[in-house]
Amino acid sequence: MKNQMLHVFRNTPFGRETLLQSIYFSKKTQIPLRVYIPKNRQFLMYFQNTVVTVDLDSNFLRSPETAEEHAEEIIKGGGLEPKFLQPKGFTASTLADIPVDFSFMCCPRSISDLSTKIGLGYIGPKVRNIVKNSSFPVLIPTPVYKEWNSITVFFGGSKNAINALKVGIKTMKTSGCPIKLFTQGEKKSREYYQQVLEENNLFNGIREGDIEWFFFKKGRFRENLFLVPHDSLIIVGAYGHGLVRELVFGSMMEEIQTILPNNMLIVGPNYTKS
Amino acid sequence: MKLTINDAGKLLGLPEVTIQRWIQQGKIPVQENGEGFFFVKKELEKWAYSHNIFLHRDIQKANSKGLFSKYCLLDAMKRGGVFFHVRGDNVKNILRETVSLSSLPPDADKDLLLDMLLQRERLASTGIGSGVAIPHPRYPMENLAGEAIVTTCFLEGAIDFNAIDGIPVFVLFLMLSPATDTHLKFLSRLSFCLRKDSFMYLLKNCTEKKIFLQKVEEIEGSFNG
Amino acid sequence: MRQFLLRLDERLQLIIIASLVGICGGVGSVALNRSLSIVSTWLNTLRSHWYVFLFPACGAVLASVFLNQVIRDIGGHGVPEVIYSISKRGGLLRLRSSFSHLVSCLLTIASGGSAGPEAPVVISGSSIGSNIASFFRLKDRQRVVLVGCGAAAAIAAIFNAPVAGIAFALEAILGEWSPINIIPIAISSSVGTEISRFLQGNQIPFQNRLFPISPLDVVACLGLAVFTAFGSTALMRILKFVGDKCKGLVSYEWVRAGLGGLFVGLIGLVLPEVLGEGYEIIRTIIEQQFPPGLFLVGLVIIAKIVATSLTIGSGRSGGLFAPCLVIGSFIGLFYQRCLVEALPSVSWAGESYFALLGMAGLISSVMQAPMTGIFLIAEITGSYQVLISVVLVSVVSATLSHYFEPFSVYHQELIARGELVRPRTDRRILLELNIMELLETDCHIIHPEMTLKDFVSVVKRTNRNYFPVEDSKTGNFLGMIHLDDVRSYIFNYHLYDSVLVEELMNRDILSISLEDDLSSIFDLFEKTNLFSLPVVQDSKFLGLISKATILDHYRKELMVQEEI
Repeated sequence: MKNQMLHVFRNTPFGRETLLQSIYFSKKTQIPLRVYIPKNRQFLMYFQNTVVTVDLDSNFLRSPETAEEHAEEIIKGGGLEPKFLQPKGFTASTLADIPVDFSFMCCPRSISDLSTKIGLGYIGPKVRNIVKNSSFPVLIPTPVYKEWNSITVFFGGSKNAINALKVGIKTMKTSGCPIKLFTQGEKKSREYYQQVLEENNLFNGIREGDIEWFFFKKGRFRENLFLVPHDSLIIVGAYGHGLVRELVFGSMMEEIQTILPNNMLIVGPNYTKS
Repeated sequence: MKLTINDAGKLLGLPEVTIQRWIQQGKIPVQENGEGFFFVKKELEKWAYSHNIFLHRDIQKANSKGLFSKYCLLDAMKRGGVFFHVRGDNVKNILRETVSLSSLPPDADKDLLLDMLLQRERLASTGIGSGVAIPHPRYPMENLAGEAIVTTCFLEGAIDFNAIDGIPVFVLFLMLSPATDTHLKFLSRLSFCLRKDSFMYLLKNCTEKKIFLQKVEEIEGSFNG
Repeated sequence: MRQFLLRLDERLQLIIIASLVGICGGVGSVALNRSLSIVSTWLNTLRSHWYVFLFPACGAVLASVFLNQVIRDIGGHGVPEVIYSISKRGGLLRLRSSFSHLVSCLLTIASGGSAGPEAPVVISGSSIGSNIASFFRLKDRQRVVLVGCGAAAAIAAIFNAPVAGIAFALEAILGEWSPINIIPIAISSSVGTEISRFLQGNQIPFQNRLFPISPLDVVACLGLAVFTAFGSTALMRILKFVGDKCKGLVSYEWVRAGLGGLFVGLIGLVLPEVLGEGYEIIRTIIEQQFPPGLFLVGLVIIAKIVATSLTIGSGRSGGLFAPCLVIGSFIGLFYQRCLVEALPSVSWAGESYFALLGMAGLISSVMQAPMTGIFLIAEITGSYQVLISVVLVSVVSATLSHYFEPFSVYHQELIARGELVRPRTDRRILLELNIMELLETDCHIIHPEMTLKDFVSVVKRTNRNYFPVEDSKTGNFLGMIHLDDVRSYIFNYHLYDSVLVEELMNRDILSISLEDDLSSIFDLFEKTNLFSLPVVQDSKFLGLISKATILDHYRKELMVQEEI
């Protein structure tokens, strides 16, 4: 499954929007798409250190007879070749094992609650679990299909942020979209971040004009977020700092996902370059 | 000594992916620091020994497996020497003369060598045609200090070597190699040179060692490219 | 603290964590046991009412609803899931399994369902072991051992039988008796037992008196073994039958559970011995106080088998140990009474003797685990003097039933799906190796428009025998040339400039994709009789897989899997 993108298909018009978004993402990153049409209410993903049970809401299993047909139609319409995932391992006869060595996965904001109930500011616990444990970035699409033409990376200096930027640079290279780097430097100076970037050799081979750095010394983070373009893909690292620190100081990812409606690519703490 | 996953893979002759899987499954003893996983060489050796797994002793040696080392005809010829006006009226005498001229190691058994050369001639003549012969012993010689020697002898008078085309031989190249594959490598290079008309012309008219060696160097240079 | 632990020697680490797992597993078992006795005592006071036969149905429905809707922990009575996880997933188990089965089993059994608390306790203990291992970020191999530790502690605590716990974990769950596993499991099992003794007191469940045995009785055991073998086959087949039928008839789990419970309740009206765990009934038999009569006993055996199948086949929330013990002791009783009827002149040993042996025989057959059967009976009855007979019955019964049902009840489900993989078997190794590790990418690629002359110069430069052909414009894989096929032409230099690679290449090459598993690749090797096969993904050539490389990797994998 290496170098493929996993998409779990919901056979509803809402699911169609999400699939269109995955198709667009797949085309921009040149990673082929692999669609899984679930047959049962649950499936398991065995990560390195935990097994995540993904409970799907009933919408995912609606009208199974037409699911494959619809999915094929949409994918072909997007100009890609439809490829479906048939799980090979089963923990129980109704519990499929889904492989985890993908390059990306597309998840709606919530996978176990009705899509009509969720809005901005909510990322379901299952999706969070996947982000925390997966070695691949997770794409959380907008509710309605929207193309993106630039990439915004939030850089806070942590290890996850560095990985986020690496993902961003890789995406920029294949999609040709420029990167806008956003840093809210509350306590640390610009030089500190510059140093971090240099230490990790992140800017090797980048031309001038490919990256624009927006460094905010003051102003509230929330307000500065307005400068993120509406048609930009957001890439952000998650769960980078400890649990306590996140609860007390708030995490960047939480703020972003509460305010910005853009397509979001979250890079978790277990991200490994394949 | 600290080893990376890559190094461990080379020592075990396995790809990195396998080593990573073994780390995750706990089958191989590994240590972890801030930057990731690493191995301690002694630990790895102990583990490999107890599991009966062969470990390459050296990463460099493991790396170079499969790479062919350089075979330089020029160097071999320089080691062997180039001689002119070599005398002898039959095959045996010529060969004896050649053996005594060639710069063998001091403890080499010259009589044995001559015997092996003659045995080889009896099997099939080493005269390959156009007046060139390449005498060599039937089996590689052991005490040759690991490097091949090619002794070039331009004969005073052409000798009947019973060659394929019947033409008397006027130049011979005595080829001594420590192993069969070395012998074949040099033979192939020499025959490449012999196919060139300019080389054959030079052979027939050459009187100076320097010019000869220069020509060999030139041809070998083009071969290497 | 985690850091400190990780710096210790691996074995010491495992021992410490195993003790922790033992404590937790033991506590879980004890909790279930206690709650069971409390709830059933309370329910017993209501037994005189008319609606008592509805209890099993209600209990089963509640249990099913809890398990499926509230906790959403689907999947059988769970022990197959533990075995699957150990053999294929490095022992990863879901945290919710630690307690979900305990609660649902409590509901099922306390209300009269014919099942035992053992399987849920095993899943719960195993899941605890697995999650503790994940908490300490241990590797797969250690996690697997800790899952075994959890299972051992659970069984040891429930039966107050440490050796049986060890035997069960090694025989049924892990499937291998290697030294590295035994120590942590032994420790965990002992700790679990200690916890149980500390919290519940050191009681032997079925303490019995000594009884005299004559050699004739030992011979008679063989006959009993035959009976228990048949009994176990009957139980397993009826269980499977009921399970399959139920799945087919009704799709809502709670309705299924309810119906099963209803039937059990009805049976219970007539034969109340059939309800619940049945330990009380066993005690009665051992004290030789069960009412006399052959027919009654026979009827109870059949009824209990049916009731158990209904409870487990429909609601699926309980273990088989306890019902096996009950059925086994009844079979023993039946046999003894037959003997007495047939040959009244001989003074046969008492009913309790044969009841014990019956239990041993049935457990060994159903679980296909004779060691577990032997140790369990020895420990829960505290009598080692009958050991010879116990061994005889267990082994003979297990061997006999092996002919009819070669796999234990836990393994059957996995085998049906083709998922049972034991360590250090060929299948296991083939599962571990994946294609990416075996791929050889140092191949020389040639193009269809090259001439034979170009091809020959390529051959000179490499040491390979297989050459993939790629289209120069699209990079798509077109075919392969094998040196054997062109051997007769490559020395024919007259053809050098007039023959093109595309005329020589073999276009119908069977290729492998990245998702194929190794067993199917081997089949392909057999079918085509080739030594190397190309791996093609999305029409692009990725590399070759050759038999020689597979052998090298296979051997190394096998050597690494062996314990020292």
